[in-house]
Amino acid sequence: MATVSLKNIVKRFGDVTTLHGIDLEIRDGEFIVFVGPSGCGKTTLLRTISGLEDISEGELQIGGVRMNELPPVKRGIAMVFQSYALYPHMSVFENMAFGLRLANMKKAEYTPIVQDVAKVLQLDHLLERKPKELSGGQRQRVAIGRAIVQKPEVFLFDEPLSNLDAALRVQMRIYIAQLHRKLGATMIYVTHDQVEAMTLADRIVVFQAGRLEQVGTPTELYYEPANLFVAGFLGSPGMNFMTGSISQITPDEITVALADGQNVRVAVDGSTAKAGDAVTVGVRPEHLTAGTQDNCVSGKVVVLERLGDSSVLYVEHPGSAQPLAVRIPALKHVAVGETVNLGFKPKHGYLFNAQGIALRRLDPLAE
Amino acid sequence: MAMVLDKSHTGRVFATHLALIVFIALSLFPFLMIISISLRAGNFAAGGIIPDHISLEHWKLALGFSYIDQFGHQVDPPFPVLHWLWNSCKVALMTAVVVLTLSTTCAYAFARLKFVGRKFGLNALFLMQMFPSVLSLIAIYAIFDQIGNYAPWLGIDSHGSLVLAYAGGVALHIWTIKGYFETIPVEIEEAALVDGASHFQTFRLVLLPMAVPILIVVFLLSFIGAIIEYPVASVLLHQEQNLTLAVGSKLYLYTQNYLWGDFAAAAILSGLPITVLFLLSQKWMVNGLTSGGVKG
Repeated sequence: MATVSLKNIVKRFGDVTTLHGIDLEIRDGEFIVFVGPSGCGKTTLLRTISGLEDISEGELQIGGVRMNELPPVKRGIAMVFQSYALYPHMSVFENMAFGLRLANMKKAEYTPIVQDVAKVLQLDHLLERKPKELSGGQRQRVAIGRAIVQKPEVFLFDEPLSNLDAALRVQMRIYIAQLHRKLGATMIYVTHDQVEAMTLADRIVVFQAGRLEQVGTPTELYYEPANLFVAGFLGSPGMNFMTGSISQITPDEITVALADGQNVRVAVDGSTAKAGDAVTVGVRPEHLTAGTQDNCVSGKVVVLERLGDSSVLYVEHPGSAQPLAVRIPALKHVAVGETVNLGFKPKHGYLFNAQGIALRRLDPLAE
Repeated sequence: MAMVLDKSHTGRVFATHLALIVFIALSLFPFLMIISISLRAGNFAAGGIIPDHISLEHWKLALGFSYIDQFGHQVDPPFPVLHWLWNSCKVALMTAVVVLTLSTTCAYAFARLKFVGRKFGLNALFLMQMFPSVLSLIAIYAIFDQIGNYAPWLGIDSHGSLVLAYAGGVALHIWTIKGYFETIPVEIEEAALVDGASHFQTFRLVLLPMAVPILIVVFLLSFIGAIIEYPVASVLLHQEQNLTLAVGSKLYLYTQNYLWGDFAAAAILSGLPITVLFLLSQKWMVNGLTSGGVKG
């Protein structure tokens, strides 16, 4: 059983602390995704789990056994690197067999293992080739194959798809999802691509500046973000934020007076708030509707982006540093410079207090 | 790539070629001179570049044969030139192997491992290399004289001592190889560590195969350095049987009699192993050994 348990993991490089006490329990067979902006410590954490970096403080257990002092090979892990990291002087076969050869397996023993994995990854016709004769997607499959032949209990992926082009990335993403279902191994996957995170993960871990911001299923993180950072990180375009202060609290909703004097209602639990508190209202672009009168803000259109399946309208609003993004039907026409009303249902709104902590939404999964 | 060029371009190309041809002629001239001297009858340094009469007497002596001179006397080879050549090759090969072993392992440590004194060690090595080894000749002599009391195979007049003395000159090679190692992406070695390789296995099975071109260059450089080295060899080697060709051929030039012709033939011979080794190693000096390993 390969549960991975992180207990107060701290990592320091000299005077710089990059991980400030990470606590996380990863279940056996779980697909967990670490996301966060560049430099947030997600890759460092993966490397401490792999054993490529030592742990300054805290304890790492894999399958209930303390791993802090064990080298990578004794941890039962395999890693797929962002840059593939294939051995350029070896053929595909030799690349995949390298670890088994080091484990003193005989050629007759490891050949069938490598061939089986190659077949699954559709690499069987490429076994004699050198990495430089392969395309990017093929190289990444070799790197994944090299991990699979080791039969690890835990797979570690360090942004494996970020070097691939968009179409190949979608293909490989589906591939990895299928692989996880087939192997049933625990997988830890680092990415900065939130689509990968949302589609692949059983649970997502959001990092910021070496701290864990929130852990949860993709749905939980999307609909019940714990704070401003998580709310803004997931979703594309990101959530719209407008600052204001609480003017009225009822059991069903809170009314917020925005910077431009308009009032909007948000259906959140107001038991910890009081009138006059500075707050931030959050609304996702898909929940704003242009041209409605109820519960709305108004502003001037600055840009219209046509994405094909839908369009995104950017609207200036005094309460928001960034223009508000609004998802509208693909062919709907709005002129740039026009003033529009943007309305949303109170149950679709989010509210964050002055510390950026979210107030509990009353009906998070409302249609 | 048919780029559109200015009209003055042709003139500039012509001038450049002319300058290059002059330069090549200048650098080839000494070499042609020495071939000419070695093929000239008698021992004369001066004379036309193409000898009036080609004589193989110097080459016969150099290759260990006797010849009959114009007065009917048999002239025997004065020195064991081929034996010296063999000594030179032996010392140079051993030196190259020792230098390569030391400098690759050191370079790996300096390039990849973190340890106290890493930066200081690198700079210290570099600074020491700035003093020519000639300055330490007396020290070298004294050291090997002492060592010889305990290990004769490393003492004065042994080839072992020469190899050891030459092995001291690894600092520049360490810098060269370290620079090359640092261009190789570290992820490839990390992948090997995750695959279960030890540091030494990573070094031998993953890093070294990717560094072959620079290893060949260092091997050649230290081989050439050892073949042509004179000062240290002249101090450490005494008996005629033990001399390297560089030291031995100096014996042709004693004050009473400069045997230029014999010297020239021996000098050309000393270039032979270098040429052979260079031709053999050329196919390994290729680019792109690391391509395909990581995203370019």
